Amino acid sequence: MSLNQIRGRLFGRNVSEVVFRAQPDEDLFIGELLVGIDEITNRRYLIRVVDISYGSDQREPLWAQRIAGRLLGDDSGGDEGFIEEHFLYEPSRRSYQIAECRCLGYITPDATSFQKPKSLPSQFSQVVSPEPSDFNFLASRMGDLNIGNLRSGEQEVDFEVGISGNSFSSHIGIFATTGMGKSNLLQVLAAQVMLQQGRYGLLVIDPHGEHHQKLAQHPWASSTLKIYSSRKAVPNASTLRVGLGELSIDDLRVSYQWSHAQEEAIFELERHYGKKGLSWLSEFCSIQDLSDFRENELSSRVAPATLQIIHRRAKRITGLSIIASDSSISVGDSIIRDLQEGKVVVLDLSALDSTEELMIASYFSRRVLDEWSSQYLENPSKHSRMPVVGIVLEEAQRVLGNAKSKGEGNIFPRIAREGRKFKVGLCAISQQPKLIDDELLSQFNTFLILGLSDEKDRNILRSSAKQDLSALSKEIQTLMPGEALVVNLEAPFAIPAKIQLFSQMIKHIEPLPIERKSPPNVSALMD
Amino acid sequence: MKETPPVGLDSVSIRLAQIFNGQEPTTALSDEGSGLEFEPDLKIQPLDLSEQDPPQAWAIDGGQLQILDARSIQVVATRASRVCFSQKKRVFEEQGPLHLSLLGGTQSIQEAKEWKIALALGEVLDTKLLREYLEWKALAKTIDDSVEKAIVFKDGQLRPDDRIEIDQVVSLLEKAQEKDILLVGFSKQSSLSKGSMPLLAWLSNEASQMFDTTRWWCPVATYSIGGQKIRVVAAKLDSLSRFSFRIDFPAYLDPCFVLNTIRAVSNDVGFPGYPYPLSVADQLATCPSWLSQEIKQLIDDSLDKQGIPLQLREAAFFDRHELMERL
Repeated sequence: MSLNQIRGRLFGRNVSEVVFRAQPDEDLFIGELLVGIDEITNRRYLIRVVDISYGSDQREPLWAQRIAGRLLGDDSGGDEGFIEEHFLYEPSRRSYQIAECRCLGYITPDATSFQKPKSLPSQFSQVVSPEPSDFNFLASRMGDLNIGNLRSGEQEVDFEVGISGNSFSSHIGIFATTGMGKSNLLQVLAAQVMLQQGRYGLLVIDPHGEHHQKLAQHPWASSTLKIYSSRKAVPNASTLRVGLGELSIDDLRVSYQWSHAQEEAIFELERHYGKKGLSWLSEFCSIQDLSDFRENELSSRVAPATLQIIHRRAKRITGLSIIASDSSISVGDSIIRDLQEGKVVVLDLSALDSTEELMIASYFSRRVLDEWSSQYLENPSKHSRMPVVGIVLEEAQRVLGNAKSKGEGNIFPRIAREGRKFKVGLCAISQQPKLIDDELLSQFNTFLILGLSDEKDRNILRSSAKQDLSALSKEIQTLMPGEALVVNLEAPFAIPAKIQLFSQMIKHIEPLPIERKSPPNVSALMD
Repeated sequence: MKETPPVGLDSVSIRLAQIFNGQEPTTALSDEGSGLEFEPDLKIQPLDLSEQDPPQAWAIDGGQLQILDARSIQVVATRASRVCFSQKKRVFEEQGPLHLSLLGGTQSIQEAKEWKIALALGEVLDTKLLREYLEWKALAKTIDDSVEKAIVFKDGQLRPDDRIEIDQVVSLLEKAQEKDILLVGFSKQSSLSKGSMPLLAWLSNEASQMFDTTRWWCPVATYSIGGQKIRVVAAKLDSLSRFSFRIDFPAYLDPCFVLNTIRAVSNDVGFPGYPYPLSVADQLATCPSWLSQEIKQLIDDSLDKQGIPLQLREAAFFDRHELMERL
């Protein structure tokens, strides 16, 4: 980034909105961070370009249109068939750019602190490109999970941007349309967690099986990554098995759409069998004559069609390869243990359809919350040494949407509302944040926003974000793949970032030290 | 209340229509008090294009502003600005100092002495003359500063005000010829007429009916400055230009060469057909109204120091229009 080059002169408008004039050929970008230098107070006002437009001193209102029309006429060879060239003499004296900016705040003259904007920089102050030292105040706020570098417009700045791993407990939202780099960002986050020597645990529900292969390339994967797969051919993965008795009706309710009558029927069946969890499904599936069962065992309290639907779904569930009738072979305890050790646990659910994936995600999320909350209540000392755990959920709007979030028994809204005090949080990934319940979205303290083309999606984030995004709609709209905004309470404004590529990042990671210090949570387990 | 149409609307409209329709009793060429020798026939010709690119294009224009007016005496400001372009880039600009003058009655004579303008008996000094005097001085300086084969534009005609000493102008023209400098007077507006019909408008109309091409020129007249013959042509230099202009230049030069040299710096897309350097000189020389306020304050401060009471100054100079309620 060039130093001390004057990019423009500031002329308006108020404390929060700054407008400056720049030469017509000045290469300005939406999202660019610039500095307005107040020569009177020596304050350096950090400003962010939110819009750029044309300007001209010409009194004639349609001057620019007229000029464009004439040049266009020249382009088409003129009316008489021969070229008569016209020029815009001295364009820099006759036209210019107007850059609309938001004032983010100012750096005090001693460069020790950053203050929110409460004063005006002097009118006609110089606008320059920032110097690396202008961002020093951010260094202590960037957390321990480095996700990339600071970005100014399209230019990457040599300044690391990140979030604190503790942010997982206050929930992280990753929002982007397809192809904007959600998967890479998640892998970068997971890779950073793997470097934290057990301070954080991450449960990655991977419905498409896209993360485990990548994360396995991490130099520290052998000791910090655990993969559980519903498929057999996944190398270095443990078989994912869940005991039927461990699943609950709530897991069923989250994953399947049930009518009220069907839900009543399920409770009726649970009462009838009186068994733990959903273990009764095995017995229910084996019934050959449903009519007879309905009449004799349920006293015809359930409609035949309703019972048939539940029976069909029960057969499907019990037939899943990952479902075991014997709960003793479940990996539930093992996964909880991995997370307590501060590992990244990837659940490869690519062999399941989305309904069953949600059922399994619901089960493990419930297990994590139950474990962490019970330790919080029963063994606070141990809980204090347990790592913060994030549960990564793709297409989170499926379980955090308006209808689903209001439904009883859905574990995910519960985690969003209560998880923080137990050190359990969600890392929700969604292409459509507009479908997520407003109240739940407001529980998310960290947004990692990549390119979002839908205005409604941007609006909902604007109203729920912990920083003012009101002027950043165009910036969000124009984000390129890998470009992001980091919005949280730690940073004083939405930080523009260029997310590092996972494949590049792992190349710079040193091999795992042979003798690592025991992470604090492991010693907790030793206790 | 409905406003009644102005008295004379019908009569004026009918007479204007007669002028534009060529229904006047006389259609002789004229330019009031200019001493032009008009061409016997106006021959409108298409402008043949050729590439001429002067090494420098200078332009001089003047500006004026009335600061105070007590009818018997006035304070006026004048200046002349210069600009030079080379390869389409501004390489020099000089706004020129603002000259304050006190005019009216004996004050004008004193002012003329200070300016070293020799006024003949019965001649008066006015703002127009002061401005033009500055323009000629700036032109003389420009001839010195220009490189050979440069083009130098002066806003308006090359014929000086009668009150300006002709010898100085003649020597300036000779110097320009010696240095092979093309001296051009370029008039934004002209009083040339055919009968009462504005000549340039008439020529434009005629040309549009005669040619497919939209660039044309027409020799209109000649005049003499101390033996140096000057040609006056009307020309439309660019197909995108809305207007034609009066152009004065030494008669010994080939008109097509001159017009194409002018054309080479009249291709700004904002005002095609008009020399861009001249429009910049015009901007520089313009005296905006805020400047009048500034100078008034400076004069007030000075008069304060000299003990001239405010009431007296106001009684002399206050513009009574400011107290009138105008809708």
